Amino acid sequence: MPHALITGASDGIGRALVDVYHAKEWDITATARRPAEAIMPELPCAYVPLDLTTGAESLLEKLPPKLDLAILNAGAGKVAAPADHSAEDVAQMIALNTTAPLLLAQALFPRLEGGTLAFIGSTAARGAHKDFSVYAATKAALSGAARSLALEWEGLVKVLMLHPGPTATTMHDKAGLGDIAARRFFTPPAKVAASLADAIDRGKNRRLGAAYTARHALEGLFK
Amino acid sequence: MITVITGAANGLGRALALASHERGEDVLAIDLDAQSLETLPTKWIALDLTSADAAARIASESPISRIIHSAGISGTGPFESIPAEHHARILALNLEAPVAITCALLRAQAMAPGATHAFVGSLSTYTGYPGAVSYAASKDGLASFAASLRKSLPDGDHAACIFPGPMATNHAARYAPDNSEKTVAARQSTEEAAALILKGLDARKAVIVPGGKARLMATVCKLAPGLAGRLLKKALYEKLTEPRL
Repeated sequence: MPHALITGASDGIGRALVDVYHAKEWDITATARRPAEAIMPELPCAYVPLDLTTGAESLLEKLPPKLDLAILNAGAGKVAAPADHSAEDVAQMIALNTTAPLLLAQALFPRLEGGTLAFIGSTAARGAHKDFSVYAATKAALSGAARSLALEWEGLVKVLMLHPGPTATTMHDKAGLGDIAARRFFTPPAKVAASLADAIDRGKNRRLGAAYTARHALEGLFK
Repeated sequence: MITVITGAANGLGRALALASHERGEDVLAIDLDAQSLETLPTKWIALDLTSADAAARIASESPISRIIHSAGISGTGPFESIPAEHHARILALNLEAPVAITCALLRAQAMAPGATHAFVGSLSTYTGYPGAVSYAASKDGLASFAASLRKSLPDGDHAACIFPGPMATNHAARYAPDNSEKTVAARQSTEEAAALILKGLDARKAVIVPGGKARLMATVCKLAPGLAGRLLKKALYEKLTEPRL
């Protein structure tokens, strides 16, 4: 069976991606920060609790020598004006959303030859966003790295950049987004995960832009 | 009212500090390199921008009418051959420091009304940069932040991102492939770039691509990013035989 690594797998899009690849009968190693017993329902795969911003040694020890796919999905956001971001907020977001996936990609390189590396970005990586300026910058940075790395690793590792749009996950609660009406129209994580997995199958970058979000919101309304 | 310029000891930062000084601005030059700062005719402080007190040191010089975040390092070579610590250092100095300092200056209300925040990005934003993955990442992050910041500032305040093309600097020579001294020397001078940048900032432009050559490169890259990336890979990445930190 092919083997996939999925980070940020405890919840949201990462958790839904575990379900997608589990249904395909892949072997999966999942990682996230929270302890295994705190993940409900239980993950149907190997799990390594880990804060990726402190290094990935304990994860690397448990990975097989060859990986077919790594989906680097772990991330966090903050909804606030620039002045309301502390130095700690900035440091943590860049560490988790940008530096950690880049360093993990580097550490995974020997395992990934012939396989696929997929970074999970955000539609916020493009454009200007006054309420999540720092988050958007971390995802734009990741996107810039992926584009350059795809050129470097051409023929060795397929590097993909996948940008989900607004998804109905707990990230927005953690980020401090209020209970705004628009959240009713956020896409369910299972749908987003299926679309991202499809992009990975096709070996193409994908951006789930406003049209995608609107289509799923309409589908939800007419159900 | 002061003009703060980071990375002012050498290269583009130094040219910006000198040009701003010549216009009669009160310049505070910041860099790690005290020896080079000393030879500037401006006020200066030697400061590690990634240190916890960097923002407070800068804020104590308020009101700031213009800050140009020009400090940056690179690291060129195959992504996997550059030490992880160096990738992290590039992101810390080029991205985290200017973002954190900007947030702190706003929080401390250290900026004068109508002030300008300017960030030095890279022309690679239009094409990708094989051979400098984390550098490209840091500069794309800055460009995004500048655009978002512009939207969130009070009316009258200004944020800009500068996208310089290749310049004749020690920085460029350090990270370029071997035997490219002549190519580097033939590039745009920092004085010329600095003059164009200040002109763009005075005109309150949001995006500043200094010089016809850089603008032409940006246009070509925007029209054919895939082709531009491949050309860059051939011209640069494939000649980088060993990492340059």
